[in-house]
Amino acid sequence: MAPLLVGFGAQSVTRAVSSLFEAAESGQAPSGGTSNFRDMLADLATSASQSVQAAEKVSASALHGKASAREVAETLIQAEQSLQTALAVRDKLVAALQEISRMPI
Amino acid sequence: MIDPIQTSFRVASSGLYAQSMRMRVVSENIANAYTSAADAASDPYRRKTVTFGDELSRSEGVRYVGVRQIGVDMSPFRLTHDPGNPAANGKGEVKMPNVDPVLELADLREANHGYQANLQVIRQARDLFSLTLDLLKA
Repeated sequence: MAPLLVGFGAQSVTRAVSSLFEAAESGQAPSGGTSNFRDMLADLATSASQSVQAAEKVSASALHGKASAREVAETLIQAEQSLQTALAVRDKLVAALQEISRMPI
Repeated sequence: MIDPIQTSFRVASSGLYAQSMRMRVVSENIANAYTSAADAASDPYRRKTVTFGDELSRSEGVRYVGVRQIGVDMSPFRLTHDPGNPAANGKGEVKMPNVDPVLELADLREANHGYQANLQVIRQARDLFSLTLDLLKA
């Protein structure tokens, strides 16, 4: 099997969800493990773009007849999942930011 | 820790590969079902078989499926009476491949079912993933 870029997947989704919930409950940024929330977001964005790039590469080699439809589907789904995760987390973050900016002083 | 949903996704993908290899071997057998030898001394096409094996991924702790070996079926060839064939022996018999098209079609059907089952796993894993992601929305 072709070694594919390992997308971060639902594991990091659940982590993101729980840290967002934690933040909402305690009113402060969560400090889960060694990395902070910002690092996690940067991680998310990087691996999303990496998996999209990998998907592009595989699609291109499929056009040259060097990759099977299965490989294309696998990497494309992985890229799609990474991108959707990054977008969902970003949306959540922007919503939180807007919430704060609307706070009456 | 590896995400189980992503892992099942990749395991199912290895299943897709294994079943498609099986389909490839079956297609070779069917295509060559009537391929006789060039002359009486040599053998005609010999039926190919495929065996699967599990492949342990130590980092993930899961077993993928892979093609262990593509072997040949050593059962005897069929003999048909065809004196005009260049591969005919002294008695006018021609050795034909030991391929049974009915058996191959049954195998093809099974490969088809296996492939669809793995596709279904991928579909479900994908749905569960996006359902988890939906927790972030709304």
